[in-house]
Amino acid sequence: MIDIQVQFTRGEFSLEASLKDSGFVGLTGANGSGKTTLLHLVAGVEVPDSGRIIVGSRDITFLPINERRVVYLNPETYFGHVDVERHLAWGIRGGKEQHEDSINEMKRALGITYTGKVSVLSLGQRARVILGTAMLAQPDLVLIDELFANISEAESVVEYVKEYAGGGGSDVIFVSQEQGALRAADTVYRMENGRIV
Amino acid sequence: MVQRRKRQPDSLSIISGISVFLLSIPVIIILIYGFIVFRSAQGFSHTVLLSISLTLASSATAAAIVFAVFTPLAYELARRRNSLLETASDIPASIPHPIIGIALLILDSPITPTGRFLNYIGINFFDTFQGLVAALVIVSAPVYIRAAQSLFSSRRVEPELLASSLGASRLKVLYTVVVADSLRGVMSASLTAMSRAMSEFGSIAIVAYYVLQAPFSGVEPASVLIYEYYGYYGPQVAVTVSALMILISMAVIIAMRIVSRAKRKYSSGRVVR
Repeated sequence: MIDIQVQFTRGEFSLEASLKDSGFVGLTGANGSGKTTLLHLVAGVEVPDSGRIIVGSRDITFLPINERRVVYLNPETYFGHVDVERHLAWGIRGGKEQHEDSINEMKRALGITYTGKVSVLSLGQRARVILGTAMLAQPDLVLIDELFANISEAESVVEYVKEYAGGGGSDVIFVSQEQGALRAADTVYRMENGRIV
Repeated sequence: MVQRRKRQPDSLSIISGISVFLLSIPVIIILIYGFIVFRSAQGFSHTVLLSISLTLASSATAAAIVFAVFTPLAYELARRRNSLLETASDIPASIPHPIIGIALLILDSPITPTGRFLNYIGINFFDTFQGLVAALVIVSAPVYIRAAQSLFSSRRVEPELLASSLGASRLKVLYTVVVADSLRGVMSASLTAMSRAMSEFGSIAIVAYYVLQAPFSGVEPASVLIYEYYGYYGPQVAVTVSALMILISMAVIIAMRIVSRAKRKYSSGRVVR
């Protein structure tokens, strides 16, 4: 369960959002409406002026990023210097040897049939690796910021992430303009001028 | 076949060329006089080679320590600007370097509490290899910190955000993501620090005029030896040793350029054109 009630102002921009939900949650809206800012507040990149952010039963509002168990993803959140296998295993406790089956299963589910350094992959290939890395780490919440747009034949990937969110994995909030992904969401919220409408 | 258009020199490139020439005049003069005009046999003696070896060993040790100790500070300054920390880390570079030597002597003097403590645990700076390295660490650290800070600032922050959100502490992010992905840049910054250490005179002339420990027992660092030869024998020998030292410094600078060019070309495993 995600329970967010935050107020945040920077310069001219003001955000006031309230969201209580779980599962595979979509967030859409025009550019500059505050979608990424809201994800940044939940991830801990920004700190709200007031309010609270509760994930599961934990109040994470003022926790440092690495203690939130909330993974933030966008097309640039990747480690360019490691190969695909090491990237996927990065957030797994205990290292990749003990979790080889899970890694192979994730690769199969996301269509990761390639190897090599992540920096030389295409945007779509990289997006699949980024998603796999987050899901293998099994955080409480995954925040996905415009990552599905780069993936060809994204429906199967979106479906897999939805199954993961609904099947006892992490809750997922994703920002997207893709109608296909939004249709798959359990709930879709629209943001306008820093408000959820 | 695509032919590259040759760039025509403009006024800026002509001024730049003249500036580089002006900077190079002392180096060219020393090389000509050291290797062609004077060419003193004493300039290639065993004493000189030992002295250069001491300079290389102490400077490389200082650069390694600077890397190990000051990389976290460089990262902190790159990600969280702090003018107090920045100013404090610049101070050793902006004061006359004999002051560093005097400060180390006071720190290590048996008449001060710090000195008594250091002597008690077996650390002695006066005329020792560790004193020489301590001085070189202090004078070269600001150079390294600035170079590494600039390198880290130019990196995108998203990989660090991913690592943090996957549970990594800031220290783990630094070493497993930032340093691991910027190894060539960090090596280049370390070579810059080594290069700076090799050129030091002011502080080491006070704290370690000679080193009285094996395998460098009685050996002076190259900059001190050049100064001493100049006083004893006049310019002939000093200029030949200086020319030799310039060649070695140039080798370090060339290594640094090769490393940093490779860094630009293969940044993050991607060929940057």
